[in-house]
Amino acid sequence: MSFADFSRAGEYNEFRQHELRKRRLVMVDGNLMVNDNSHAMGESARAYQNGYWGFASATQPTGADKLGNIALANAQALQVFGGSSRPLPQQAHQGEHGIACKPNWSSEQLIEWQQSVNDLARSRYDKLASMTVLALDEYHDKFVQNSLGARTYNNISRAMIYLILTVKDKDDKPVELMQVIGGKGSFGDLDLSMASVEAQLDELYEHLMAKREAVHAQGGLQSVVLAPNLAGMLAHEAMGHPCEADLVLGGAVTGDMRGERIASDLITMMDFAHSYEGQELAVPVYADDEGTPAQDVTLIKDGLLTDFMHNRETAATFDNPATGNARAYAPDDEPLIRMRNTAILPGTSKLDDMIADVEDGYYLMKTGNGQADTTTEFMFSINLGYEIKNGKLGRAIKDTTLSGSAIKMLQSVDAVSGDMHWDSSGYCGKKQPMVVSMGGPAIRAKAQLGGE
Amino acid sequence: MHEQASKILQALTGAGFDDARVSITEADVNELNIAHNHVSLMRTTQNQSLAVMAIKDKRRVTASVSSLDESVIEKVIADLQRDVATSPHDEAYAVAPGQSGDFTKGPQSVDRDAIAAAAKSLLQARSEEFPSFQIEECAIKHTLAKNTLVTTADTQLSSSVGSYEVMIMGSSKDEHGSSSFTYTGGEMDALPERLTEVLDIGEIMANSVQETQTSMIKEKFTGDVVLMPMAVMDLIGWLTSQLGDGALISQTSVYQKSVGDMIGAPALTIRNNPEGAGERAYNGEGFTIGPVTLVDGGKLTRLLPTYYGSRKLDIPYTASGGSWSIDPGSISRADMQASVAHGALVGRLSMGSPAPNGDFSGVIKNSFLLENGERTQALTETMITGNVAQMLQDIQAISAEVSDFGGSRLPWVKISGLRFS
Repeated sequence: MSFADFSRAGEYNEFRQHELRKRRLVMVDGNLMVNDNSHAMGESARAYQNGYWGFASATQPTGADKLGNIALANAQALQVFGGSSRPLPQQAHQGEHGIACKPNWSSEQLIEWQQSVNDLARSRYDKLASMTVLALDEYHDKFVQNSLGARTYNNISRAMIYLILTVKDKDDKPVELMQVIGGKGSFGDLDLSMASVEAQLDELYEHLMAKREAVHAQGGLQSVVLAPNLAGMLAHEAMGHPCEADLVLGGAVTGDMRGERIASDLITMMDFAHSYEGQELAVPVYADDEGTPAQDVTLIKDGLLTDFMHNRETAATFDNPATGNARAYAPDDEPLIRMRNTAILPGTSKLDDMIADVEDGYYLMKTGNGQADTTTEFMFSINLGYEIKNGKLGRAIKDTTLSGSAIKMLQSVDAVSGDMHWDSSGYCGKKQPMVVSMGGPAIRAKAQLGGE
Repeated sequence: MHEQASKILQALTGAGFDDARVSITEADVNELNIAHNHVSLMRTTQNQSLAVMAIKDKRRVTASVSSLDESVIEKVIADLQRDVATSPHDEAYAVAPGQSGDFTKGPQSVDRDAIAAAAKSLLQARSEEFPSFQIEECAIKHTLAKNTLVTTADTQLSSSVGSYEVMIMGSSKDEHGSSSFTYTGGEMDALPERLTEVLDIGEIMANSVQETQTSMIKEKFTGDVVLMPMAVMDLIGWLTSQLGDGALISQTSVYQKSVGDMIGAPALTIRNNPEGAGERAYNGEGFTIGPVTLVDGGKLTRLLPTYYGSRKLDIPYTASGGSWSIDPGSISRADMQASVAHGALVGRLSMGSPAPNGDFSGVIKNSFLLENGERTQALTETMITGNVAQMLQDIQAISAEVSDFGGSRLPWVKISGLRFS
């Protein structure tokens, strides 16, 4: 793929060539259940005319001219609904931004490695009931051009390993925990040495042994210390989604709160475009799929709600600059407002002190998935946590859910650690899936915990 | 397509594969999007895809590509040859034998005027009947998917399935505040004149506008839930995940040896719905789908491994499709609700995947407190905790009314013994 001939259609139009390659190998107890490669290529065009968008895509090479005309015809077909045009922001990026990956592993290398990890776990952990080793990688190459002169190439590359250990509890019921090794680039960029894997599995198994004896958490409002890898989920789910301008237009409570205090003054939250403190992040977006130069967005500054994330259209509606958050997942997807690298910034406290100061509460360490809401009421699952009694860690707790009003929770934050943990291991779901990353320090606050 | 699929199958055997499955799909989609109460975008997509599974010396590999160009197919076959050599040997790998059929179903061409009319009726109903409801996102689309699937074991299947699909998500906002978002969606053979009369769309809007004023429960309690159909989907989703390959092969399913056992209340019967809108007559493995009763009066009749899983574990295989329906009960929704002394009417469960043993805790959304049989205030920040396997056993009643989502047809379900906090 490379840049194609581009022709104008409508008041504004764009053309994207998009290649998506994915690999998935799933080994359960030494059985390779999935060994799959997928490769999708496609072209798409989007045109804006008199307040409406038209979109067209094809997996067959069709060309900007033909697809642009179909997209324009689609936009024109909507004129029966009335409507009026609003000028879109005019920023346009030119540049090519690839990710320098180390040589990737072949499927043969991966299968051999999966088998070795399975054998290692089988030989080390006598109570192991089941072991799943999942390897996934994906590569997005996008060439975007538009009628404002944008001409950009962006690449997202990510490799992930999921290690899932299962044991049985005293009632012979399964109990599991998962460790993710992943990040930007290829498998060659990850530390997959057996020494590193062994250390991570040992720690996971130790937690699993504690979880076999786990007790139910006490339900209701609790003091919680979120480990650094959970704060990113809080950032993404709790306040990230309600700060997406399309959700704001859809009725999110944040719409009337810009400039208001919505969090403790210890909280500053950002959606970074591509870099943090000079280091390129896991999801580097230099220009989005509308060709807009991507910029960092400050969502919360010292506890005050500041800005929203925009595409060109919502930027025009809010009379704000477009922020470069319009992203499409698959070749036949239209760009939507999506987060990129969303994080709560670190503070100055120490995690050990934050735990030591809690008389009765919980230390929450691992999460599975989460969900946001227009009300800012969030939830995310807790797969690993411990009681805190008189400043010390106690018994492990069973799987539970953390939830509450993000605003109330963030207002209750009384300590933020100096750590910063970044993670890019899952997908955000919003009509389309999306590769995102999230980061944060440890945080102490009050929130609702599911339990007895 | 059939000719091309057969040719690729021949090329695979010519390249030394013992068995193979080839599936070619062409899908045309016309979709109208509504955003923030306004029509926003019309999209048309034309997708072509090839999916291949190939076996050599009992080693298996799969691949998919979005092009049928000769050079691309040659590369796919070369990559499969390279990768299959490194796959582990497993006697359970096999392709679907002896399946045949040519199936046509649903609307074979798009009626874009009907899509526009449906959008108009929805927007009109919103502004006239539920003005505080904000449609954050709605997609009304027609898909025509043509497929051919062949295997080296004499399976030859083809289908052309057309359907309309509607998905809507939104929340309400008024002088009191914002409600939680709510959503619904499903498939149908024809778009109705009034979209609010299908897929519970009118009902979720009517509920949503009453959810801008919410209260927390005053204290923890143990009580009943009446799950609305979208929340019932979560129960079925967990059950079927426990009956599939992942849980069965790792021997971690709570139902590993439960065929023939009562895993649910006697009122519970779960069947597939191969006749539902948008449902294809055969599955991706290449087996035709017949009627299946998965849970019969509370009794589990079978597990749901893939063909590979069934051979691996030496258990029966059932091609069932992916959509499930629950048989209606005899009690009305109103009477079911009136029978709850203390509990909640639950529209949506916001939670992570339940633990492998079924334990879960989740936030109840779009939900109302039930007290002495009366629906009172909308709830916020309220969680329920329980065990999904136990919930299936604790079903107290199933409604006579059923919502049709195309593949799934689901009732309201009353379950006892949930802990509220």
